[in-house]
Amino acid sequence: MRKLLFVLLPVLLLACGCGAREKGDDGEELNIMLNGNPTTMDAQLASDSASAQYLSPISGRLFRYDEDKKIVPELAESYEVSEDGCVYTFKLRDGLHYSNGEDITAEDFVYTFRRIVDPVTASGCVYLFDELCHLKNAKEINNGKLAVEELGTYAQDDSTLIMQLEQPCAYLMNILTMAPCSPCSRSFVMQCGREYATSPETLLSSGPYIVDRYEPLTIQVHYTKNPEYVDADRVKLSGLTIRELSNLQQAMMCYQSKVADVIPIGGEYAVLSKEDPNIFSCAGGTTLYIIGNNESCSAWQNRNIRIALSLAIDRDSIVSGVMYNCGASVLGGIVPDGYSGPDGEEYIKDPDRYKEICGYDPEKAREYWKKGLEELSAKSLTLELVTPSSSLKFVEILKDQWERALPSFTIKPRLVTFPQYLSMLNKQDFELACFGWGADYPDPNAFLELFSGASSVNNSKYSNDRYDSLLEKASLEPDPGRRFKLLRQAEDIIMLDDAGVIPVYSSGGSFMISERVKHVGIDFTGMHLDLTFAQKESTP
Amino acid sequence: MKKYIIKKLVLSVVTLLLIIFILFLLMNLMPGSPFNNPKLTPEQKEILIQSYGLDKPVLQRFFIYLGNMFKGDFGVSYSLSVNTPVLTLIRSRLPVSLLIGISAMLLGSAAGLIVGFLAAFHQGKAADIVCMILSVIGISVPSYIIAIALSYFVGFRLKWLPLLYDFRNPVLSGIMPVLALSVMVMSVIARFTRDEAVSVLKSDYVMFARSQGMSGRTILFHYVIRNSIMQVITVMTLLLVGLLTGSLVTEQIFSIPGIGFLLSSAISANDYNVVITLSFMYAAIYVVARLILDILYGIIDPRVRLGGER
Amino acid sequence: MNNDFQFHVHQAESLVIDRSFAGDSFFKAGVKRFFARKSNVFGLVLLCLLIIMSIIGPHLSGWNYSEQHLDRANMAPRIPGILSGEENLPGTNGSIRVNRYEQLGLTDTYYYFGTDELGRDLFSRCFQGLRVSVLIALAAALIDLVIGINYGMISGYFGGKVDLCMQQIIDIAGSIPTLVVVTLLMLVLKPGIGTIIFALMLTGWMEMSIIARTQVLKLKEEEFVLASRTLGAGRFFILFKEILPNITGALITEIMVSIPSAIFLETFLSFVGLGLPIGSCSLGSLISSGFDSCLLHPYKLFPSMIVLILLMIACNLVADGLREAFDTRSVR
Repeated sequence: MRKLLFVLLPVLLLACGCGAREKGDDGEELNIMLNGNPTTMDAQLASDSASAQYLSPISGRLFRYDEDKKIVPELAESYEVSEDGCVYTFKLRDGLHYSNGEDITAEDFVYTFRRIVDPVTASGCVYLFDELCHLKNAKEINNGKLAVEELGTYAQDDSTLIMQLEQPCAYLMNILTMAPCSPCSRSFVMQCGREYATSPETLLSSGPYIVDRYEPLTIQVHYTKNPEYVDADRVKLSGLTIRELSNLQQAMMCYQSKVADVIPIGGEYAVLSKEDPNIFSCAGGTTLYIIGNNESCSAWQNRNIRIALSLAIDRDSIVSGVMYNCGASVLGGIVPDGYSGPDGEEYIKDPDRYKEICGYDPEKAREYWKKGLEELSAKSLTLELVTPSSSLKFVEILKDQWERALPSFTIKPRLVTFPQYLSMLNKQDFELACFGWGADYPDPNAFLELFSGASSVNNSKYSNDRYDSLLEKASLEPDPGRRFKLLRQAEDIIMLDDAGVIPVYSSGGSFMISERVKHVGIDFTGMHLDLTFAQKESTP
Repeated sequence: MKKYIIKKLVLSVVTLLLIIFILFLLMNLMPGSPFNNPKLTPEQKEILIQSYGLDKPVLQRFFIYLGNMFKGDFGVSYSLSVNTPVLTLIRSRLPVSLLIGISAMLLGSAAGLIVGFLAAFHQGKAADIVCMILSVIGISVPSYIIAIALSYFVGFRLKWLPLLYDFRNPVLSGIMPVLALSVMVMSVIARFTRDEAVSVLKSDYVMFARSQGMSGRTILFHYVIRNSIMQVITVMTLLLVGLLTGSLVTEQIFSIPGIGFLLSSAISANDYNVVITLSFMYAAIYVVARLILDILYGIIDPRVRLGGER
Repeated sequence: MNNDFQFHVHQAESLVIDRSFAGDSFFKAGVKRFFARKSNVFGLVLLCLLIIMSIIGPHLSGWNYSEQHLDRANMAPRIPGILSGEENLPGTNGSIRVNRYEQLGLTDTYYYFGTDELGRDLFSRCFQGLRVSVLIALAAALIDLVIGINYGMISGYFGGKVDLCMQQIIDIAGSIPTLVVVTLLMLVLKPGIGTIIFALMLTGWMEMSIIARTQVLKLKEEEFVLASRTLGAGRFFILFKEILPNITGALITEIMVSIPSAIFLETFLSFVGLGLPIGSCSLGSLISSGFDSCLLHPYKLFPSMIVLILLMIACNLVADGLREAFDTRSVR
């Protein structure tokens, strides 16, 4: 064994040494760290947020968000909407090419959309078309009732794309900014077959960068500039690297020693960096609610108990205790702050609009609690709260606050793995549950529709016909001002009349971006970076 | 011995098949499905489940899987890396894990053996106690704490070594992860070596050799190592399997694309094929390592006979 | 008068027992030998101290271990006359010196080990955690002793088909990832200390049994075993009376190695929702949450880490001492 050891050691060291040392020129390359890694690089399958982030440098879309979170055309030149708001005609820009030089045509977009909806692809992104924007026949095609050619989108000529919707959609542009809607070439996909999007050779870019190095489930993707990109002359970086790093302390060390230019920030570092001008955060994309089972949990069916539970939560201290006030804020209703219509009208006029329900008032909470217990003719209550194990700290604080404020109340948190959490929620196998949601498009409806009767994620089985009909009316309303009014009325019903959900906080993302780096865009969720025109000063 | 090895080999194949079968059953019992995007509608999930054939009964799936396995197809990943063949995933990650795991193993064992023998020869003296305390610390402090400390002092403060693992330069950037992982190995091996060596040193034949005036070095090489190595090798095989699979947090700290992350995220995402293939691979390493171990016993100590019943 | 064939007896007692040479009983002698070494005594005192602290420690500081004060999160340790409660934080704009006690105007408040991110007293938590971890350590040791050692020894000694069969079982059981086993357990069991011990029973004995088996394989062909066998000793007599005393060294070492891994398995279980109920703590969970901010607030990690190391050192010293003292070979 000893001999073996001495023989093996040099061999191993040699083997290590074979990897040649390369030195990339730091000057123009951006190094980014993110949480999460891509589950796929096939854009049409990318239904998760991490994949979307890794895809965005190689995705050219019809529209994109600029630095001010406004929608601007990217591959589209202009668009027209029909009177009824159901038919969109997009004009593509001239001279669009994939990274292999092939032309990007309207036909490619049609193929892309069909590919998403086709049940053979089994893409998780179908909801974009059948649930969110109701593209004509999307649902029927996905269920196998119609052929994929029946999809309500076609190319009038090489540079004109037409989309037919079943009902008006106020946020179609937002959906079209998402990575799955970036075009893919039919001939290229066919040529690669099963290997498509598994290596740099089988990936085609329509965006500002090309994937240079990628392996499935990698923790590091390297990109170089795409010379064929339509705005290539405005792209300043020669390349970028996105790495997965889930340890915040290590990320911070990398940032401070300039190994990384952009890192996600959170935890206690957020407190220490309060004055730092290089922190960029946004809190509006993801919300956390507490929901209860309206079918089997008798305590939750009682409105007073629900209000008591809501009033007993000190949301301010949760936001500072769990999220360190970084990329998070108190949620005082179903819809988080920061959403406005196309005319610039803010959806939320008064953040304290539901103070009687979502404020922090242990005194009043106890009153409601007593009333509720009387109505239930119970002396004490024990409820189980189902939550994925990632939110341990939140649950610790919540348990403490609830049990301190409400007498004879025991909350039994049940931490479960994420798949189990989802299956318990889907089967209504819970009393109380934490329910988090990330919005796909920047509109109040993204949150309000969660609790409608038609929603497939309405796990608490909250149902109110007036609420549903108001949402329905709003979705058909072309005028943005009146639409917001209808949505507000619906929110009033679920919050004031029913107190059917307990909103807790909204969160997004926050990044530390080095001062050498300029022009990085962050989308409304605060989680996705747009690096199209990012610049980095070269280090002297 | 030959008969024993053949018997054991045949049994190993049966064991491996049994392991796959049990894993199939267990994975079937795991709560939830592999499709864990909360945005998927139930119909959409149904389409996915059907397209992967997950709606078939377990037994049928098992035999299909087995048939494909003999053709070298271990299935595709469902959710971790959509539609990527599991073998592709493992192929890119296994070498990294192997390299770091085996280096840590060799470094740790070499250091552990030296420390262990030193302690044994100075049994009861200060050196022995210091070694004991150091090894206790090494066993008690998790490797991820050593990793972050190394990272901070060596990588961040002194800037001697790169903070993150870089596949273009695996030697330099691999030093810190290897060191962090080898501390545990070293401590465990040192403890076992010391104990074994002490009991050998106390034995009659060493006493005799000593009384004959043999030098400590001769005793070490002629008696102590030979007689204590068996236990140490056993411990090494046990540690090796753990090193190859269980260094999740250390992997995360240094951003190493290794197996630990793959296995744990596959289990928590219910990515059946990845879990089964990885466990199968793990089991194969385990079974083979233990078979080699049994054969080594016979070589190192010819008195050991595994076959016959007493 | 003199009879050569008779013992020369002056006093009857001296004939019965020669007190100066017969020595004490095996047990007494062992205890004497144990206390003769300073390191053993030190280990024992340390162990007793830790056990006492695990009982009274959580009540000493006056703070309850699970009481949250979110406004008093992350206070550095403050001990009258020794530590002022000041800490240096590496902010991104340069280092920040803070004294949270002064910021909050707490002149007369002392958190000896500081507080955690929810404002809970780490002193109480540390010793409360010790309590749980000592229990888990005991359970792990017991499982090793009862299941692991017996399984391995029987497998190794009997050899042949028994061995093959038992080793196949280990191969199978050892190949199923712990996380899978644990997740499935979660479906049937409720979180708590009993569940942790049950999970340990399912996963914690295999290494020990492999080590015990190796030891037996090595010893079963030794002369003293052969001698015993030729004298007609039964199999189990040989196994437990002849072999077992000779392999304690490796077994104790393995127990010592398995204790920290058991303590950390508990933390791992908490992560999948099977560990201790929310709000309670263990050394393992304290260490892993201290790790999350160990570069910012090292004081959160150190106490629990040091207590764990002390516990392990004490256990090692005592176990080694006991083995030396009662080792049949050193009695010779």
